[in-house]
Amino acid sequence: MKGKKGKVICFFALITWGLVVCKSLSASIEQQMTVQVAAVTSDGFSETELSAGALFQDDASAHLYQVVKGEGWESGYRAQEISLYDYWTEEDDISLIYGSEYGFVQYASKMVTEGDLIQIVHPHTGKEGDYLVVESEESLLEEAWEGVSVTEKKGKAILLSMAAKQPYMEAQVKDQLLLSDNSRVYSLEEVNDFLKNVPLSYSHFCHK
Amino acid sequence: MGQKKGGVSELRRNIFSDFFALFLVMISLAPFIIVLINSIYQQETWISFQAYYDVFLSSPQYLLRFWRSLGICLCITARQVFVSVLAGYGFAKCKFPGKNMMFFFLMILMVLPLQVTLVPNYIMLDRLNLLGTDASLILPGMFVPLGTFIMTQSFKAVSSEIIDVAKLDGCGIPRILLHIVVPMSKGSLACVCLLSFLDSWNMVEQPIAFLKDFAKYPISVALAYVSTGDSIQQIACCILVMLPPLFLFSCFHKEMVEGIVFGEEK
Repeated sequence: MKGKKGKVICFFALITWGLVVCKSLSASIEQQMTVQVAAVTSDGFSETELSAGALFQDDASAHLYQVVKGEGWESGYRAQEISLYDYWTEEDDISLIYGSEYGFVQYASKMVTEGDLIQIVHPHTGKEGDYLVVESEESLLEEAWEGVSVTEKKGKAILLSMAAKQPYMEAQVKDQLLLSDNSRVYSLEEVNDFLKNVPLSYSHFCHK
Repeated sequence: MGQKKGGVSELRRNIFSDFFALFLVMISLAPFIIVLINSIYQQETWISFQAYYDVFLSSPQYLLRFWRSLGICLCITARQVFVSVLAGYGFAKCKFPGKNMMFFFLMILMVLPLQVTLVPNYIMLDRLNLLGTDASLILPGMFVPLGTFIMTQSFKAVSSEIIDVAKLDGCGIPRILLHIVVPMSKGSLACVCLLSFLDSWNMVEQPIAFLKDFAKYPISVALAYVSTGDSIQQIACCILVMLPPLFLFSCFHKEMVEGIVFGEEK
């Protein structure tokens, strides 16, 4: 009987250890998965204006989100989609007829979907970093770029060095460089950080 | 011939009782099996562990609440056992005026439904400014008459001569309790531990009445607030909630049965 009890205790001790590991792992997973957003707040008395980068395009349509405070299991700041009838777009701007207590999502570190847990950040100009710009059309307004030094240019790809706002958000850098919606911007630092999280790929990448 | 007939009817009775027992076991196990199957069943892929990933890995909120609830329950259990042992010894082995009357009131308290004491407890906690705090669950949970009753019955079975001899040897009450009476009532103690833990682990009314903030709700209550869209997560969470009672029962089921059998001379 004692042996059986010992086995039961060992089994549940293993489960407890597993739960402790899961607890610490889940905290870091949540931290990595939380979308960082730059929000635009308004007083609610006047129209709110956002840049076109606030529209998140998926396969079906474009989505605009506001920040709301969740309750219960959905506690924390969450993204809530705004109805198509509540905003309109004019050229590169989006206008809203009402304000939001916690603001509207202007830029995000990754794709936002309805109900996502988000963290509001206040972007600030960080240290200089390398960025790879892939422009779909030959319409770069390089002369309008300030504080940007082009390191290399090959076809539609441009490697440049600049002090972009941190944390890195693609739409934000696009707006800073006056790039079109179809172009892409990659932060080399972000790519490096991503590869560090995949140790085997990172060592392979470093050897190359 | 008659003997053969009797043997056949006994065999039939045995088969019937076996089937009946099997039927009862199946009925008891059915909810657990349904929970287990539903937690991994998904229409498209048949088997999916997404719900387990959501509960155990994607966010720490379920596990945080689990550990918090476990902490509160262990606190309640430890205090309840402490109070039950002392009160049980008092009722079983000490002489003081009004003892029988107090024990009678204790018995009345035991048969009263929880909801009756909920309002007086609420008023008391409000006056003590403890509403909305963890103490509002721990403090009333300390005084549960069933634990005192079980320990009283168990201590009554301990021979008074042993205690008298210990007293002659110069043992004080704390030493008698720790070295003689409690070790002789291990089964009852385990039973009180188990029952008080299960009672506090499954509490629903008290947190709803005494706590306002959802963040403070124990997992037993918070589970009901998982949105209907996340019902698979809710089911996976049920598995998590089942673990502590399952552990206690698989470890101490023998002690629990022994503890409930009162009045044996020790």
